[in-house]
Amino acid sequence: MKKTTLAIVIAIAMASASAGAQDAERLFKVAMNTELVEGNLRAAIEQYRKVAESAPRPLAARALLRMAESYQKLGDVEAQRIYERLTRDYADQREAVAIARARLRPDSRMGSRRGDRAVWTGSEVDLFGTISPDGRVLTYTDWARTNNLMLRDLQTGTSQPLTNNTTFGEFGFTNFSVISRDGQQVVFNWQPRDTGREELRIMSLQRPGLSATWRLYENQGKDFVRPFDWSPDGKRIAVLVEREDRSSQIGFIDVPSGTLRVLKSIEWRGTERIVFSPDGRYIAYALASSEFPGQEHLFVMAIDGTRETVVDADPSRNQVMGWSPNGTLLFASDRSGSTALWAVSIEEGKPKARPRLVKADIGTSWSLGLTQAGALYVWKRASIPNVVIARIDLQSDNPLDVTAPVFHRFVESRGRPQWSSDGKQLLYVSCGSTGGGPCKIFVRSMESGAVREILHTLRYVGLPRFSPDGKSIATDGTDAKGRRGVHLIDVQTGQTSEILRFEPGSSRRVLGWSADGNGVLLQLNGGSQTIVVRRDVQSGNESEILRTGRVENEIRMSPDGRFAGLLATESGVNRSLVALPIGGGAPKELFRVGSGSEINWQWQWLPDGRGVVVIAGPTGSNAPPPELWLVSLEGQSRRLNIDMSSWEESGHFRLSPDGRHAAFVAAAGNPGAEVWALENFLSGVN
Amino acid sequence: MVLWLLLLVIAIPLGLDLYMPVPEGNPLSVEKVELGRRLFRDRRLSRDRSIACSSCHDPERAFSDGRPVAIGIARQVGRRNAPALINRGYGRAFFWDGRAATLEEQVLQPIQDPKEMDMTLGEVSERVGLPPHEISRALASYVRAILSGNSRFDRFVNGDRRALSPEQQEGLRVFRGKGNCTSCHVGPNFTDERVHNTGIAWRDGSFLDEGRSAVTGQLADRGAFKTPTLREIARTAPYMHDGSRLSLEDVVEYYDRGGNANPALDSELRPLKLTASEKRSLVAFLRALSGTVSGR
Repeated sequence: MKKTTLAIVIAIAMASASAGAQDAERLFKVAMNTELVEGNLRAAIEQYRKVAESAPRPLAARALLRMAESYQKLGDVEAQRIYERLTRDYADQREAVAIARARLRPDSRMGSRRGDRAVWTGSEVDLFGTISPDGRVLTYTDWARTNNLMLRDLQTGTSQPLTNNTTFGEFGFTNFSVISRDGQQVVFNWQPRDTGREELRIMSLQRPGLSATWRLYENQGKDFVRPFDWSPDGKRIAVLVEREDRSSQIGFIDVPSGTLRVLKSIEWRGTERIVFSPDGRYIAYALASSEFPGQEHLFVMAIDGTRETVVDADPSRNQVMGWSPNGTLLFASDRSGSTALWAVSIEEGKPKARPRLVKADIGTSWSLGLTQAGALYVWKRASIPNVVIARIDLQSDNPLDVTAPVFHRFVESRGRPQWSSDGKQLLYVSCGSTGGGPCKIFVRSMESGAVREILHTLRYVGLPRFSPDGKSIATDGTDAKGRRGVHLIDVQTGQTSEILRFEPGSSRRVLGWSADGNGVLLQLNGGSQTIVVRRDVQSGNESEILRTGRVENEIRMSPDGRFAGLLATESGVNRSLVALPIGGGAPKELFRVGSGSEINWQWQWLPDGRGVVVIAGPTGSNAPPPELWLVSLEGQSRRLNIDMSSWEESGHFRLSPDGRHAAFVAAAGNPGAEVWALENFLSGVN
Repeated sequence: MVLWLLLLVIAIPLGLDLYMPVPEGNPLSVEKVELGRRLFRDRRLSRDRSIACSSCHDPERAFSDGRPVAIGIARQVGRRNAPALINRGYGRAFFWDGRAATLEEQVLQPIQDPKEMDMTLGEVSERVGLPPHEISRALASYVRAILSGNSRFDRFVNGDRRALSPEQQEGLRVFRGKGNCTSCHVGPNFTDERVHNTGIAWRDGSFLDEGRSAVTGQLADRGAFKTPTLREIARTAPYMHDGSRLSLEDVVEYYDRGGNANPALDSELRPLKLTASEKRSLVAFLRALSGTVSGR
């Protein structure tokens, strides 16, 4: 009897513990929704606190981590205390502790840790090649002068061409290349100038020169075949076939027969990397989620096509980086808030355990391959772009207060901050470490400080802009099927709808919203003319606003609609800023630079329409930083004493509607890109 | 070894993916495919022993039946067109409304449908001497072995530039471009496996068939049906979920005018403004999607 009673008590206790765990899991999901979807950080912190108090240790650690991140987003030092608590009290929760430790480091940038080293920095660095198995040489493409396939010797610091162009594309064009696992050969895309048909060619690294190459595969029609990896035995090359209708297929090409075998058709999703397992029996790749193109999930497939396994479907951006010699799949993921290196053990094509963090904040998801010694070579931007909001006083001698930024947030690329017309919201964009997407849109509330991601369904976004009422965002972009157009995104729900689809080769561009908020302004270039039209969002009807001689740059309408501003070019250089009166009349030149200088395309109207802010400066690779100018409609200009040395050219400089804040992208570090070797991390993985 | 086994069971024709998502619980085997083939033609699966699966999915008609809608036992008229059962091993949703998630689930439903075969699983199990799960696995395995590929289109894409006539090549350009066909008919099987409202079910201000909405209860799914494959389409008339379009020319005309406008019309549909020549080319291309059908 006693035994029975005890069993019942234990069963009840277990059941209630299980129910409690389920409740905590539910509350954790609610808290994540509060943080990430609603953007209510304070409320989310309280919900995470309750989870941490009641949940089993693994979930409690995750809740504490998110709680710390929420504090961090608010700029609250409590974040540090929670990270310290995690490292002190949750040593058994290794993943959470690793992230907490990384966040506690005073400088968590790659390079500050043992085993990470930059091996090549400069304007030549690109991301189209791979590292040799011994880590000595790297293939890349010369985009500046010849479009040759190149070989960089990382030990001597010298480069040599592998193809024979003496001028750009003299004999043909190349882009992607992959060195074989034995380091003896390289496969590369080649488009001969005479035929124009894309090919895959193979060259011995011992015998450079086009004449010694042989054609493995010739693409059909306008299809494109991109090589990713050699099988360990050198008998196959993993490829992505991009079809003329923008759909893609994962497959491999047999060497030397050149037979293409399609393993899996992936519609329009594409993939950035395919890697063979060490035994050559499997390939791994990441595919965008069908629902949210900004999320990418990991898959492993048997190369005989008999099985595909979902390795990880975390709702984050994930990219395959390589496969360690012992069968551990390495991937980059932004699930912890910034791009980090993760690992998951794979056995017989299936994950053995949950993914675990290997290196925090690696700052890139672009792998150039793993060496036999286990070093991971990555491409990354040399600078770290951050969206910054700082106070500004245009009348002051030192207008911009960058010593105490209101907001400072790392973005991997782009940034492109834009204010809502009431100045209460700021949106910005992050398009992955290479800038090619998928793109995420974030909105920061200036009142609460909360930042939330808008879950839209576009793969790439160009320049999103708030509608006048702040409820919608209009942006040019690419949809999940790879088609360019103008889209409307609901700021609250992320619901995305197409306003206009661009025909292939279309020269249309979006200029922004019409003042009434019911239409968007489009610029159409055709022949010798440029037309600006207003397109009604609901009906699709278009009405002409302006017709002028052809303008290659973007026309920008003044906030009051009285002027169209444009950059006038001389010998291809933006030399002057001109205002065209919409109602007719002579154009006014507002600003001009002398020879050797250029006006940057990111000029903007002042919120009151009474002038413009112009970024201008000398051209050339070693030119000093540009300058910021305040220019009135009467053409009077005043240079603002603002240090623009860390300003990111593609990142914009936007004054808030009340003129008291400036949002821009600042980048710490050198311009250009770098190749890094990440070493000594496999012992932890193995 | 696994590849060898797979090849022994089914041969993947030119144009189709090597990877077919076969569930781990029902690996392909020669025995199961053969059993499934026999069951597919077995009239004992219907109450009055008058029809088999093959009655509506005739191997000689690319596994369709040539009728606007399916006819069940006792000449009962069904609601929807019997779809061509080809390349369904690559499917992700089954039936016109996508209500079945797996082939194993799908193959048992017509047997139990009162308007089709009208049997219980117990009854059919007793008649054929097999438990329901074995019937399901065998039929699903056989359906996975019904493959169509190696069409003129496939040969063209794989390097034989003369496999398509100039008119068919022009049709392919229309298919991928102005016709916007690939928005839904994508990939080697020419289907995105998703549901779309093309307006076919919309007549005189209401939906004659709720389509996917009857499964999900979602207003947005009203009148939406799964994109069918276009392979063997020249042999599978009449077309659409209700068999209401008798010819390929008729289908092309329907899409050219942007479908029937209705509250849930898919945003991909809009007037195409194809010329008469483009329409002819498109139909010529569609006829080039017939190849060899295995599993007969």
